Parts: sequence; C-alpha cells; structure tokens
Amino acid sequence: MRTVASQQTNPVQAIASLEWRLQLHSKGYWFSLLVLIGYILFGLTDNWELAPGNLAAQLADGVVPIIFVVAGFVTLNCTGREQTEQFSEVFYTLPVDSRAIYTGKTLGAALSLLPHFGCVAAIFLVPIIGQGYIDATVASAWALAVGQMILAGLGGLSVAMFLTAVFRNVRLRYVVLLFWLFGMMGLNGLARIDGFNLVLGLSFLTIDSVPYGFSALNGFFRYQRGHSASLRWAAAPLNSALQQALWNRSHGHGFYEESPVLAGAASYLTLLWLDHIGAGVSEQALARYAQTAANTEAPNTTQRRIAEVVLELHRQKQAGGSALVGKTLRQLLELAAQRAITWDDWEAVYSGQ
Amino acid sequence: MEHTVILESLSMRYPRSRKPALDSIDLELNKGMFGILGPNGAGKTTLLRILATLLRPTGGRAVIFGHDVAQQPDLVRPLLGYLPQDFNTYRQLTIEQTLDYIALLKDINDAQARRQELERVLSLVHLTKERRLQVRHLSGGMKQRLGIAQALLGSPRILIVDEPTAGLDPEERIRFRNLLADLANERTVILSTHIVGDVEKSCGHLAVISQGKLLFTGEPTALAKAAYGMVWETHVNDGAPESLPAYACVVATRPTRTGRIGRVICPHPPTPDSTPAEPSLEDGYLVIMGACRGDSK
Repeated sequence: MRTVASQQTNPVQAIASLEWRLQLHSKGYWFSLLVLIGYILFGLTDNWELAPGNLAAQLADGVVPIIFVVAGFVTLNCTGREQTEQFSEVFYTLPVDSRAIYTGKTLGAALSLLPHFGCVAAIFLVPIIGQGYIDATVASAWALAVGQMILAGLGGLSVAMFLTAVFRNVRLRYVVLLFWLFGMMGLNGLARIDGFNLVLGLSFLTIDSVPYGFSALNGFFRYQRGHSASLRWAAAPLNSALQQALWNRSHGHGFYEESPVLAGAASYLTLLWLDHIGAGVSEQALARYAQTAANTEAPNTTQRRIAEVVLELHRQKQAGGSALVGKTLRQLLELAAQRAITWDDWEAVYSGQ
Repeated sequence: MEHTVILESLSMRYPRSRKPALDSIDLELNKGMFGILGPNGAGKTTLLRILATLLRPTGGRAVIFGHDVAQQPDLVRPLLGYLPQDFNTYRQLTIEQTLDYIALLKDINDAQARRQELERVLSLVHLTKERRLQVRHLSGGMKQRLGIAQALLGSPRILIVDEPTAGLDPEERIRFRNLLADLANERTVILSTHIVGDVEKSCGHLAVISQGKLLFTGEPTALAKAAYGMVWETHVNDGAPESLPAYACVVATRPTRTGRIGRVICPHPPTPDSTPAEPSLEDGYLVIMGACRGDSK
C-alpha cells in the first residue's frame, strides 16, 4: 500500500494548509459563518426597498465588525492550536523556526476567512440579480466594502497576533480579546449609538488612512524573530487605534475629527503613552509634530493647530507642569464631552492657564 | 569515544520553587540505550525537556553533539526525536496525515522522500494497516507507537522518550521496549521511566535521579551490586513487621508450604533463619534510593 504524502513543499504551506483544514472542524467557525449569513439575509429582507448600491453599502458596513471578530477568533484558534491539542511539547522541538510557524498560521487564518468573503460577495450579487438593475453607487460601494473587509480581517488578525505575543496562555488571550471587544463596543455604543458598528471595525484599523493592522502585524513578526523592542513598537499604533476608537467615528464625520481641541488632547495623551512605553518613539513623534507645526504654511489648519498644542503641552510638562497639563486636559475633555467647545474656547482655556 | 550528550553541573530551578528540580547533574552519554530511573517528581521530565530544547536550564549546561542546548537550539533540534510523557496530536488527522505534516516540519520537503520515510516509520512501529485511522480513534498503545513514529521521522541521532510504557498493557510494553532497544543500535536513546523492569531489560547504562540529584550512574549490574550482601530471604508471617528490625524492608513475599517467604533488604540478616539472596536491579535501586532505612514502612 502506498502512503499518500501531500504535495506541499515547505513548512509554511504545511502549517497553512493544516490550520485551514482544522478550522473547518471548529464549531465556532461554522457558527460565525451562520451568524454572517443570518445577518446578510436579515439585512437584505429588511432593506430590500433600497437601491442596490445603498443596500449593499449598508450591509457591508454591518459586516465589518463580524469579519473583525471572526478574524480574531480564527487567528487565536491557529496560534493556540498546539496547546489545545496538547501537541506543543513535540511541536516546539521540531526544527522549524517561529517565522515559518507564524507565517503559516497567519496564512491559514486568512484562508479560513475566504467563505466569509464569499458571503460578502453575495451581498452585492443578490440585490443586483434580485432587483434586476445596477445603480451608479454599486461600484463605489463594492470597492469601499472590499477595502473595509480586508482591513477588518487584518485588524482582527493583527490584534489576535499581538495578544499571542503578549499572552502565551490560550484562555487568557481569549478573555482579554473578549474584554477588549466588549469594552470597545460599550464605549463606542455610549459615544455614538448609531455608528458603533462601523467604529468597532474601522477604529482598530486606520488612522489618517494608515492601516495600523499592518504595523501591529509587522511588530508581532519582528517580535517572533527576536526583536525584543518590537512589542513596544507595535503597541504604539495599536494604542493610537484604541484611542481613535474611543473618540472617533468612521468616515471622517466623527466628533474627534470635528474637534481640533479633542484631536490635540488625544495627540498629547498618545505622546504621553509613547513616552511611557519608551524606546525613543515619543521623540520621533515629537519631531513629527514640530515638523508639522513648522512646515504647514496655512496658520489656521487643524493639523498645524494640533501640532502646536501638542508641542506646547509637552513644553509645559517638561517645565515641571505635569499637574497643570493634566488639569488642562481634563477641562478640555469635559468641555468636549458636552460638545460645547470650539477652537476659541480651547484657546481661552489654554491661555488662561 | 566521543560522548553524544554531556551534562555539566546541569541545574534547574523553577520560579517560586524552594527546591531545585535538578541539582548540578553531571552525566556523559554514548550511543545505545540510556535509562533514567527515578520516582515521580524526581526531575526526570525536567531533564528530558531541557535536552529537548523546551526548557532553559538555570545553571550548568547540556551539550548534544557539541552544540549547547540552551545556546544553539536550532542546531540541536534537527538531531532530536522527542516523545513526551503524554503524547497527543491533532485528533482530526489520520496517522499518515499527522506523520506527513510532521515530516514537512522536519524539512523533508520532497514528496517522494517523504513518502518513503512515512513507509519506513509506519512499518517500524507496525502501524501500516492503521494508517488511515484518525488519531482520536487510536488506543493508548497505538498512540504511543504513533508518538515514536513521529520521533523517528528524519532518523534523528538522539531519541528522547519520557515514560513511554506508562499505561500500556504488558504485551504492548514488551513490544515497545524491544522496539526502543532495536533503535538504540544506531543512535542514542534516552529513556526515562519509574519502572525498573523497563530499564533492566533494555538499557546498557542508567542513571538514578531523586529530588533532582544524581544518585547513581553506571551499568545495571553495578546498580544491582549496590544491594550486594543486603538481600535476604526469610519467613515472614502476618506479624512480620514486629519480628523484623525497623530498618529492614520487605520488597516481596511469596507463599510456600511452610508459610510466607519474604525478600528482605537489610544490612545484616534480619532473622536467625535468613538466607542470602542474589540482588536484583530493583533491590539495588531501593538501596540507592534509601527506601530501606525504615522510613518506607
């Protein structure tokens, strides 16, 4: 009898293929697919009267957090596989480097999301076929949704990878992810009920169109390859994303982006956090603010004002005014929470100190 | 002869633990089967996990074929095959899928070579017919054989097996022991066990470890000699403990027409009618372990 050896030719392929296959044995995985299909069917029937483009866009928006959560779930499944199957004792004595292991596992997780992406494709096909026409917004909604889905997937994946690097214990990672997700949902729900679905997905992913999921993922890989400072490095964009999730909503209509005051405060808090985690990151950020403040020609642009505020707060702190800075920030945030603050108010509060 | 494994003052202390798990172990191992004997909690698994690159020692060093295990794990791993105490693997895969996967991770990338390697190890552990069984449907013995098969993939120069016969029925145990003995003809096999019989039947050299300390190293016959002049046979009745010195240790009894005859370890004849007996490996082990100084009764 001949043994059927697979046609794979390297450990990365082997791990990716195994992870993808074993994912199909997970009840949670199929449940997530069921939830997604249920959501799409419910959304389709509930909003059928909308034009295809609008209908698709609305559905795609709601799918973002689901993709994010599923990506996190399958990734944790992959990275915790050896522990849950009690195979880690042998697995970690095999002559395969951690780079191959985690590349394979990431690839396996990404492959596992293909059925979910197939469901997203159905969102666009069903209204077009069912309603028998295509309106002008379909193409743009499709492009936007695909981008969002990919970023949501990468976001979930990178957050899970980040947690993997920080917490080796499988259960603890799940608990932390769960707390994080519910915390985000709660905060965003409180901040802006109607937009929290979008915020949950996007806030982890981009700031000023930079996909931070990539940064976090890159940080994780660097960590696996022995760059000990890379966790701190990855923590910075994740922290920024977290911060944006707290104060922002998606599509640039958010409270945070509307208010340069809050943007300035948020930037400064980020700087403090970067300063805390160290490794020269805060110096780089400060230099960037200084450059922005110096190079932006129009004196009243939000970007320039934010940069100036951050630099000024930092100077105050360096001059021994930490308490003063804290008080200023608190006042600002209180005013901002009432949505009653303008740029002039900010300057009044600021100069009053 | 060049030693395949060298341990120099190897020590291990787990965080928040008062006692060291390993306390300055010095050992030199060559090709053949080497047994590590000791009670549960002696430090055997810790020692094997260090050799398997899973743990970093907190003191001393372990060298395998010239490579420091803690400093050069990437060079050591290709030389190793490891079967842990509780071997488990992906339950949903079949035996051949599991082996194929592990072979790939051991860098056997060519499909043809991998096929041949799978055939070889399946045949060695007598699992060729069961190759399409899922792991979750395997018996304890079959799972152990799969464990040894995965360890043998790529023909490692060192095979580390931790309590491999625990939980096996007698027939499986003997078969497994013989298999390991065969494998030891071409490589170093390090076998950890608390079953004296496993070592007695198969190992050319052994070490006894207790509470992290190396108590003995040498050939099995030398261990048996440790009990020389201390093993006796004597009548033991129901009230045996009272009729024997407190430090005498009854290791076995058997019924005879005239009553029960006990095998007793004692520095001198425990009773006037005692007759000396030939010491076994188990007797030597008990003497080395200090189990017959009255505290075991």
